[in-house]
Amino acid sequence: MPRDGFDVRRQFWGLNLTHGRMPLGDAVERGRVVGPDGGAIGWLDTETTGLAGGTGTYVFLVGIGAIEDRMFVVTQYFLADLAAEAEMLRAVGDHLRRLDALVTFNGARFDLPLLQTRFLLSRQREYLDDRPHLDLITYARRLWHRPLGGYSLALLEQGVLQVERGLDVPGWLIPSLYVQYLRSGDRMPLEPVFSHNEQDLLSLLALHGTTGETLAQPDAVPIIVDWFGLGRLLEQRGDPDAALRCYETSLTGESEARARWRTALALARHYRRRAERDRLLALWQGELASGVLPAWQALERLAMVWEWQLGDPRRALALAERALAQLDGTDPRPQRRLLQRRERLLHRVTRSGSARIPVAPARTIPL
Amino acid sequence: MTLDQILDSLRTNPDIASRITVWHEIPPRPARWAPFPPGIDPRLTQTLRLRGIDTLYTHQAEAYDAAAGGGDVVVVTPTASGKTLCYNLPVLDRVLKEPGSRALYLFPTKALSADQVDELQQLVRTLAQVTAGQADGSVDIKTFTYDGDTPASARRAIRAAGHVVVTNPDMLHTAILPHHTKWLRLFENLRYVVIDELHQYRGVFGSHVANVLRRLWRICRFYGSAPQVICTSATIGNPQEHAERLIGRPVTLIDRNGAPSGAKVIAFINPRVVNRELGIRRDTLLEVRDLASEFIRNRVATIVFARSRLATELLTTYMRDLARQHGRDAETVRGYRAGYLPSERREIERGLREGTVQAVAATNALELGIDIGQLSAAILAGYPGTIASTWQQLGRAGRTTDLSAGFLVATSDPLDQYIVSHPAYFFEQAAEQALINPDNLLVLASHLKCAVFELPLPHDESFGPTTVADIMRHLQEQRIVHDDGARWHYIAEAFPAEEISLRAASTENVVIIDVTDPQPQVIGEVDLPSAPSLVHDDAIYIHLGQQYHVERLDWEERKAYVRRVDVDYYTDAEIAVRIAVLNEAAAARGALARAHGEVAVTYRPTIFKKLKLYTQENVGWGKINLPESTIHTTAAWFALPPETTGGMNTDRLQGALAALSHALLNVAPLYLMCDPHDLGRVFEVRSPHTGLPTVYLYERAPGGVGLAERLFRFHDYLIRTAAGLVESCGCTAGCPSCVGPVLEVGSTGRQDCLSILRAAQRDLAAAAPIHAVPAP
Repeated sequence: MPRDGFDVRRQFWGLNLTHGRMPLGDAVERGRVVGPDGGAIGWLDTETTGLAGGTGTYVFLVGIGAIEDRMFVVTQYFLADLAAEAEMLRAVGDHLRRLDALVTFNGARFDLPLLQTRFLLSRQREYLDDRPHLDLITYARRLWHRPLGGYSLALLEQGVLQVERGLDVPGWLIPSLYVQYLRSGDRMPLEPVFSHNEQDLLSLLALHGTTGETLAQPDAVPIIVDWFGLGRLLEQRGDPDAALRCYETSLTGESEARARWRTALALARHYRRRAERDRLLALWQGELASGVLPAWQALERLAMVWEWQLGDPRRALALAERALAQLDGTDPRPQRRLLQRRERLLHRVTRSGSARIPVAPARTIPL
Repeated sequence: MTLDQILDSLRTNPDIASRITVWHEIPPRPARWAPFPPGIDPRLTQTLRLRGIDTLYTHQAEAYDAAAGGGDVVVVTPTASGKTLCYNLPVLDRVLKEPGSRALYLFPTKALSADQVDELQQLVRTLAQVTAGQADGSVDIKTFTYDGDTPASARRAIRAAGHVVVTNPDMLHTAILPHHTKWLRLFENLRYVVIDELHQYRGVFGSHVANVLRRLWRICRFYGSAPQVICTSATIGNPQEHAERLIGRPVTLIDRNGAPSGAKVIAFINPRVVNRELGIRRDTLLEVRDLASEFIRNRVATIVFARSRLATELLTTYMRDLARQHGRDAETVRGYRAGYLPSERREIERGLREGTVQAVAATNALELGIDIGQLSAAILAGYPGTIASTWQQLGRAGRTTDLSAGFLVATSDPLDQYIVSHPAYFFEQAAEQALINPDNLLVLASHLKCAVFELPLPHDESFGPTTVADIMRHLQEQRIVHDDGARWHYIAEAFPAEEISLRAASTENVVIIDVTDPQPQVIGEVDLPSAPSLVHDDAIYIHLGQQYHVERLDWEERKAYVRRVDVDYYTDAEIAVRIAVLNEAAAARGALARAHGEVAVTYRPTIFKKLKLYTQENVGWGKINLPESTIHTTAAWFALPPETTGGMNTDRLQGALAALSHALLNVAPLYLMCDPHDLGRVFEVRSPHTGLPTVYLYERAPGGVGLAERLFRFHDYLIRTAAGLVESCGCTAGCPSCVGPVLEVGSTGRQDCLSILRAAQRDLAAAAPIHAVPAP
């Protein structure tokens, strides 16, 4: 069996080449919106002997994509002989040190801790924790989990990136192909693994670009997206106006109670912050009318609006009474909350010297 | 009445006195003190003084000196002799002198570790106070418990910053060693490994733990650390040998206890015979209740040990009734066993320490080193199974200055009867030997998988004293490891530690699923070898006092589907056992020729009987249709040459062999620190291996843990003790306390068994080994 330690392959892709929805060069540019900071970015993906983690899982293929001389260059470090692991890792470490930052898909939980373990086991003090790193999986989960029903790279390729994979080796088969190679020394059955890793890196770049595009132009997103998730990301990035528009879009046609509740709460928060009392009132009136949420939830929120934003405790009291009358479910907390609110409102109404206190729910008060 | 007066009245009451088989008085023993060793960090001595410790017991000082000298140590200490200081002292001293250093504490159970961490943390808090204003700055020693309950958020901090990490062997095995790179700081700076309750690590569990430790040493070597080991053990027959086998290195033994103790009375009580024919005595629990009555009436702090959870619950009920009868608050009597919530247990322990709880009925869950203060009386409802745990349980009563008393009340079981009728044996015999077999092939192979997962294994590296090339080649064939020419690498996808349980020899289980409710629920599991007898189709399986009918055992899927029922019978399965000798390791001739070696034991489930509760009346039977199963293990066997069996016909021989195997099996645990269920018995009228009538005692754990070899080596004692048991039994033709019931052994079984044993005793001197017994 030939023993040549580890080897390095390099593949070059022109930046004008299109992978999925846009040319690679565009993906690089648009991806900058998401980060990470730094000039020399590396896109990284590994293939391993198992998914369990721990010290007994080897990284046998490290793929790193980077821009060199206006080309997207994929460098693959392949562990041809387990005995050469330390040598290979030294080469990988040299490569990583030439980069300012890394982009991965699930690297924070999988690829990087595993590589870190391998470095320690071969007595190389390479600290990956300290490097700038963007894990796109957190963005993918926010933006596409709901519409796609998942957020694996394969699902994203189909539903978002518009990437067609040709013949591809399924991920779960990869460890056993490597083990087979170790026994036979025949590298042919591993060829699909090399191209799988390459494709993953191209799709990682494409995902980076598409994520950047989505964040940069939320009003002109041509693809399917979870508007609530997009709103949250934009809010975190300090763009509340764009976030608000996303939440508003998200609310339209949302028929699932929990998602609708979450979105309405986010909108209410924004309206309060901007002191847009009319829109706040309209929001919860609309929710009461839409019938997706339990009526008491909308009524309780309306009571809050009338109590605090619109300063009308009598109306708030009436709404709290209505909410109490509409209560369903077994959770005791809303009832306790509403009773407290009614108590407080009753006090305020009496103190302010208003006329009679409505004892029974006043159903006739117009909203 | 005082305890002294109660004891007097017991001895003078003729009814009770007639049932006392021994009254043993142990004189008080003064403390032996030693000054703080000069090398000890002054901040630590200051801390101890502040906590009221002005001087050490001699064994504590010896332990410190031995550890300071750089060696590995095992300290043998009775209950409440200041055991934890034996390791906390050297550990804290080292952390004070080298602030970066770390220690790993291993406890066999969670409850125990909670208790000891508490004590350590009190010391650490005082130390922080002492050092708060000092020039060197406040010393903040961080101690953490890392077990299944540790929240994920706390784990990172523990890995990075814990000076003392407290855990158990199971966590070390599945969570720490396989992820050792995350524990870099711990392993690089590990100076001490503390192994508490060493005697708990025996049999299959101990054999596993020995291998987990081999893995630990390997990882330490990788990170350049060489921690010292400090073990503590209750009294066992071979503490030094056991510690050395467990940790794989020579240790210094410290066993001269310097702690004081008050005078103590130990008495054995044998309930009177109610049915001479069947050898049945008055119920032990009732006898215990009567004995406890006086103590409860006179507010003597008392602990009662029972052998089962059920007995514990019964005794608790009895004693609460007694308390009410004597006009005491029933809440001063409590039960204590596994299955109680940790918070309930802590509350009871506190109650015992503070005196709000006056009496407790417990299982051996309280035998371990949990701090419950000192009680005045201990009553054991039945022989706990080993001399070692008998002393531990009796030791729960014992004060540093005042009188205390311990009682052993016998059941009808053969071991109980032997002990109470041969008290000299108990008081003169050293405690049993704890046995492990770290090189049990199954256990070893399991841990080699884990070891190579943790670090590649060079061809020339040994694992323990063993060379492992054969096993590794086998793992290579199974595609679990790959040979790169110089080292083996783990290449399988599975995470090996998760498949290996330290507490069972067999890793396969049958899951029990309750399908009574629309939503099926897993209620428990049984290990695969026990499944055919416990959860065969139509068996009645009992779990937490509830009966379940087994509707179907899916053998392939390892699942038993059960439904809750309430019936007035239980089921008893018959399993036919066959044995084949594979290899004879050693043999000796004689009137009872003996040998030991490897065997294959085959179990074939045949039928089950339905027996009425309480009356044991047979109310039906059924067939069990399950495949045979075979395990490879070790056995000791005894063959009867013609001159011994002279002229017995087959029926009579059957009875004699049944009687002999029953007697031998029942005395075997006297020499082995094992449960009677760890051994099985088979006899053959004509063995294909020896060509003679033969009795086999085999180990139930696959691969064996060394019990069979010990039986062979302790042959003389075994024969003498078995003869003693049968001779002194009061029955006429056999009973469960000696050779088994007459129905099983026939009218001549008892007599024939005795003649065989006597013949064997007569020529013990004449018999000479044919070939040498390998050294352990």
